[in-house]
Amino acid sequence: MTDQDLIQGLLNREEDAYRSLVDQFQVPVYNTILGLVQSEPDAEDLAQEVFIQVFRSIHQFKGEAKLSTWIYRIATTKSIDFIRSKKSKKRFAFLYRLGAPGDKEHVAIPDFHHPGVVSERKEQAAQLFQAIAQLPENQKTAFILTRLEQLPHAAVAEIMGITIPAVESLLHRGCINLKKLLDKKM
Amino acid sequence: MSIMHNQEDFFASLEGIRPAEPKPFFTSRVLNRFRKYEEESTASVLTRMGWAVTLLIILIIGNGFLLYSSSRSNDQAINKWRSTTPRWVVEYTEHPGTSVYDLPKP
Repeated sequence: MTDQDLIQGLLNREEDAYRSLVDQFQVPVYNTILGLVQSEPDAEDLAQEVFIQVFRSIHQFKGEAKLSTWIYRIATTKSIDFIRSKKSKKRFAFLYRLGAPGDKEHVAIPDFHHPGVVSERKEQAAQLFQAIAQLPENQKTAFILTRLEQLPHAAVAEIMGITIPAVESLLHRGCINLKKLLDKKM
Repeated sequence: MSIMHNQEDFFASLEGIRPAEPKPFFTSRVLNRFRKYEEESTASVLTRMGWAVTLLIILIIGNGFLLYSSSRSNDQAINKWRSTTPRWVVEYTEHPGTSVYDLPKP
């Protein structure tokens, strides 16, 4: 089924088109979200929300970009929004704990084991993902789309709405930051 | 040098990584959630329309009642005024164009 057929089917609210879209994009959407949010239940929930948003707003798709680009854009935006809301909740919880006497427990970033990593490299990958989680949003997005999703720089640029040199710069700065973060661990 | 070597190991840990797949029956779960969402939004639209229609009916009935009761109280006031006022005053008030010679004698 071509993009055009798929879009037409979605506009006609055909069950086959819905199924076909989810079947075609579930892996890239879930994989991208999982790389960004680093939690399997959250990634599953967000991936479902991405498809529901695609179904509901397909009439807003103008066809200026590829359908996959548009879907990736929704997935990354939703993931970043989720991370932001989680961070603000954590901040609020931290402030709340400051008020409570005698509890100075440090909240560490939980270990995340990506299911696709080969078993011999699981430990190193977990530390790398912990460092990725600490990167700024745009560097993290560029890194995940390039290294985890293995998308070309041009596609990443289109998804993020920036130029190819800007993507390369984000990746360069991201790698430097990752090296610094990993340095601290060693 | 050893640190650099270790860092390269970290980055190499992503090499050959397989894309993560959602749990089985993901498509069915998405479609079920979408249907539920659609049903809920349709139900909420219907509920909102129901409330709007109910409110409109209440307003129409309320207005009708106010109109009826005010016209009734006006009639009563006019009748009371008629019964307590001299006839020629009533005639002159109700037909102001009437010549004073045509009015009934007080």
